[in-house]
Amino acid sequence: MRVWVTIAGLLLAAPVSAASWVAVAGSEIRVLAEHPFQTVRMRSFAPEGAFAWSPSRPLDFSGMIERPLSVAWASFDSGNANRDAVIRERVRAYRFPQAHFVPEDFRDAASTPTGVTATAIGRLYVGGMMQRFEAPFRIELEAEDRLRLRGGFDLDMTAFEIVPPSLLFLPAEPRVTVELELVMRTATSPTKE
Amino acid sequence: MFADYPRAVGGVHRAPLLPARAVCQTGAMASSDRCSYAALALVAALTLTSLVPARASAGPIAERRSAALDPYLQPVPLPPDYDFRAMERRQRMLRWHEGLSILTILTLGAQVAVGQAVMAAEEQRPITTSMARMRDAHLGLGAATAGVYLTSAALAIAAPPITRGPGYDAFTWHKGLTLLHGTGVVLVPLLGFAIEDARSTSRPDADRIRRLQTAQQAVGYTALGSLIGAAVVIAID
Repeated sequence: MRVWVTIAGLLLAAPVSAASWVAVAGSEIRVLAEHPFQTVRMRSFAPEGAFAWSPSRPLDFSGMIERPLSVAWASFDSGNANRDAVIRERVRAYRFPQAHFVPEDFRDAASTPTGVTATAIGRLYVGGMMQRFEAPFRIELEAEDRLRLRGGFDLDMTAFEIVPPSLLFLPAEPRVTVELELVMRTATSPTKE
Repeated sequence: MFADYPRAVGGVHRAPLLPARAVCQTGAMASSDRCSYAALALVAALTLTSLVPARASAGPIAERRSAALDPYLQPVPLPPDYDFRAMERRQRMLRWHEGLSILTILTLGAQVAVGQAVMAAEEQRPITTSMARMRDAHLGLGAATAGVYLTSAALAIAAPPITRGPGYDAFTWHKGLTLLHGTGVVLVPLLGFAIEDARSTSRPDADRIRRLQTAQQAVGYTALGSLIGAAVVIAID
């Protein structure tokens, strides 16, 4: 009798169980930094992360995070290897090779015609420093097993005790713009693009 | 491209410094051992503290302990060949390199301008006192340029290297232009000596002097242009 109750429970739970979504190739994080002489665009195509989410219950983010969003500093490319090396020094990548965002809570979840928007509240780790952080994002379901998560925020690097690099005695703006665009697939679907 | 994304409104919310990281921020990032030992000692102390029976202040202690054990705040071991002080020295040396390079551009620019004025004045004879003064100024500026340039170049060469990936970029151009302005800065005084040598003979050959002056002028402008170019490629890319 108990077995049948368990099986029935599992069958009832199956339609609403959240699928596991994993960041795959095509994902990108962009960092835009301003200097009086130039605008620097750094891009990384190697963000990592996984979360559980069910399209049938789009506003339910409880228990969402399976693996926090992480990106290795070494994967960023600004088109200038020397500058990339300097930036890695500044963000203390030799001690803390990755930046992490660990969401702890979600708010302002809303459905839109194109998807779902919400704000993730969590801890952002850069260069061995942690700051509480809020990051709004949008999820667009592109196929049954594929979605696109977009987000963007401004970040003050001095809050992480990072001294902005300078060029010809002029320092870069400490405030940078970060944009992320994650292509995610369900863990069971093929991850190759 | 950047307008289509939802954006954070509040930006960064500063949290209190965390104990393990605070220890690492005491200007001793290079001394990884000291930093690691301090973090270990802190973790040990906080763990021992947590064994004490719970009191009214147990909340904050538990929070501090969890912060010290936060896996994302644990540094990876420093590479054995990593020298933090060398990186600081590199930044200091390259800042001086930047400043002296700007000074080189100014002195070389002034030298080229004065040299141009000397050439124009020599068209009108006889040689006047002011022209002789201009020649002295030209020579003095040349000596200053060479001194500042060599010091700047020595700083760039001696600066501890940084690990960088392969590929061509602005820095490659910056280094490539060194060949041009380096050769120019060596040739300009050599041509200057040749001009003085040609002038000091008993019967100076005006055509030869003019040819040497024209060559020195061309080399001077090339060196100045490539120096400015080396600064510009770094500045704009």
